[in-house]
Amino acid sequence: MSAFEYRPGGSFLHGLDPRTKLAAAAVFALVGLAASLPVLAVSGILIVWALWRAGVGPRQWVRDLRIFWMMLLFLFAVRAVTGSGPALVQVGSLGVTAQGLADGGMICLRLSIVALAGIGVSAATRPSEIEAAVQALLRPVPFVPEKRVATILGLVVRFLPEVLREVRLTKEAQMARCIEQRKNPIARLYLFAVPLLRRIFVRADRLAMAMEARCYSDNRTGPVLSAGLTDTLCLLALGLLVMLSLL
Amino acid sequence: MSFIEIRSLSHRFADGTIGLDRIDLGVESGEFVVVAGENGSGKTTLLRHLNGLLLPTDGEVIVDGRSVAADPVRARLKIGMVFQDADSQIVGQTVAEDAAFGPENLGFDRQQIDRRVRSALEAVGLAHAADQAPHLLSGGEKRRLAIAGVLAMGPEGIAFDEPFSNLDYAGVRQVLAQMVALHRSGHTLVVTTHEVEKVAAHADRLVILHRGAAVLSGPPAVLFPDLERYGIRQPCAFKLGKEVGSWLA
Amino acid sequence: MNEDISRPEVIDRTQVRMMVYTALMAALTAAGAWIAIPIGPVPIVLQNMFILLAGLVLGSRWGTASVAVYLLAGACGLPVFAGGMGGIGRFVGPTGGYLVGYLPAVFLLGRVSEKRPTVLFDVIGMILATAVIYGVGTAWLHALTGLSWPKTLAVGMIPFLPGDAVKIVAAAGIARALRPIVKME
Ligand SMILES: Nc1ncnc2c1ncn2[C@@H]1O[C@H](COP(=O)(O)OP(=O)(O)OP(=O)(O)O)[C@@H](O)[C@H]1O
Ligand SMILES: [Mg+2]
Repeated sequence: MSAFEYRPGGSFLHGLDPRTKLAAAAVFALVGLAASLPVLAVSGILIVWALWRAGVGPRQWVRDLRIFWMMLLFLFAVRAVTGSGPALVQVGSLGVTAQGLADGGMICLRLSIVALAGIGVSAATRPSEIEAAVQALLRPVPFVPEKRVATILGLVVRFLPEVLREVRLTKEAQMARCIEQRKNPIARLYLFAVPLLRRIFVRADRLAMAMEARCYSDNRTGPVLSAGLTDTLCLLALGLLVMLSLL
Repeated sequence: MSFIEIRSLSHRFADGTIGLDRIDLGVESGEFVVVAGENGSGKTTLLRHLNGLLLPTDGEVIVDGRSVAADPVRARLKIGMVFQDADSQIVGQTVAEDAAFGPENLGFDRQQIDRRVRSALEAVGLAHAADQAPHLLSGGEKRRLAIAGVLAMGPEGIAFDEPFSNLDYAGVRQVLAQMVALHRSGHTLVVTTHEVEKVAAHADRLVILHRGAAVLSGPPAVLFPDLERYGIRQPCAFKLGKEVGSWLA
Repeated sequence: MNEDISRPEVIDRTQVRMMVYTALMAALTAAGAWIAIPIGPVPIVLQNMFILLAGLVLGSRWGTASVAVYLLAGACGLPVFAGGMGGIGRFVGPTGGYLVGYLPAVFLLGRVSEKRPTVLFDVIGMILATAVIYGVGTAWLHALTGLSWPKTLAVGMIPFLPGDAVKIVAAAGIARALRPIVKME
């Protein structure tokens, strides 16, 4: 199971209201972009602890975020050789500077905090809870029909496995018809995408009709969310973090 | 007056194809009617008119005393629709969420919704799978989920479009047993199929559709000799001169 | 059943349909991050082609909505960015700028292609949209890495341009095949 998938459980993170978790992810994004080293360090420890309690240990997030870590490594390397000041080590024409190393390290720490906080939401919140939270958080936003947005979000999650399956089937069908052998890349893209999209859109039409038959409406009953004392305390702590990062 | 009254119903598609041709048909409350016809005979088109998903180009459809065209929402509350393709009518990410979709749209409060979902899932024997992802269900279970989805809305009648397509023997029996139970509990059933054999023993009446027209209507056993003429397979037992029995036996 | 229900305010058929299409294009966009077609030595990833198709087929309003929904889903931690990284991290990583750039790009493409239903306008729109995506994408890459502009473009744009040209031409054809299906009755 990947770190991005919901894993059932009863940890501290699981028990929080999904709105609190989304707020936390947003706050840690801010922390990651704006906070100073001590605040970053404390946030990092908090996040790793909460993840660990939710059943996502370091081994998991190191493995599942490997593309992300590789990108960070690239960033770190670029930063290390583009800093100003005297070079510590000379690699060909590139000089690794102390300032470059420090810059690179900071950026990587910042981005890791944002990424790990995101994992915390995915691993400990059901998709339907996330949709409910989005609906609740969008309610005060003008011109955004939050119920419809929540419905569309649910449909995306519902469609994704189906789309991936159709993609696989289309690829197999193409191999069977030797379309892979074609030289012209445009023709190949066209012959791949048109049957795929046509099939998927027909499915979508049927789904729309089924929704209509079940009276899909705007005054539909929304999900129920209930925040408790822990959520209030968490929000207070998050508020504190925001102030600390902006100081 | 019948529960469903179809009067001189015609439907011509935008491209000029005649989908339905002057159909007259009444379905009594509590009746179990099978509509049989070959591919392209208009079965799906006919069922869509029961829910106002298509509107007549001529004639009218009346459900429980009121025209469907005038009030399609009421018709959808009276008659639940189980579509031909079980996969593309799943809206929710879990079995329970999917069954809750209809009642949520009707604006029930959460407790009422939970109660309706629970009793609908129990009725189709899927209560144990409430938290499962629908796409992991078997073909028969997906059909039963679709049934639960409409049952949770509390309809008086249920329309099934090709309920046995893509099902194995076990799946057919599950769905058939479900239909028989619904019929017994007083629901009106309209079932389209080209596999008459599978439901014949349980149906009150058979209607044969041919090129958009309702050509015959009567007790199944009486119509068996005419099926082949309209491109519908006769039950094996009938060909062998035996009585056509239930698939549930 | 005899519980009282308020009459559902059912949503117009066209709207429901467009909502489903919007979700579908967002799901395709998400899937597009994993779909690679081996063409020549480097496989090309199809995500930005689906972005272009969202603009061409759904138009500016719903096309932008589909991209916004994709980004929103990812930002909230719904499993649409999987396959290596998820959640908000995706936005702040080196490739985050391209994701954010999708939004204005699709809107612009939709507006241009709605002006006139010709292949020419579609292609012009797609070229502009691609320029917007690279503008936002490389700006973020530049800021994050501190690389000089020529180097940023050499890493974050030039290698992908041939693939983009192929995708633009293919998308023009695909959109023509698809529009009659999506067109409302
Ligand atoms: N949207 C449409 N536009 C034009 N013609 C259509 C449309 N939908 C259906 N038809 C045609 O109307 C006729 C009846 O179609 P319908 O789908 O109702 O048949 P069916 O009995 O359900 O067939 P099947 O057994 O294949 O499901 C067919 O000839 C079909 O090609
Ligand atoms: Mg049919």
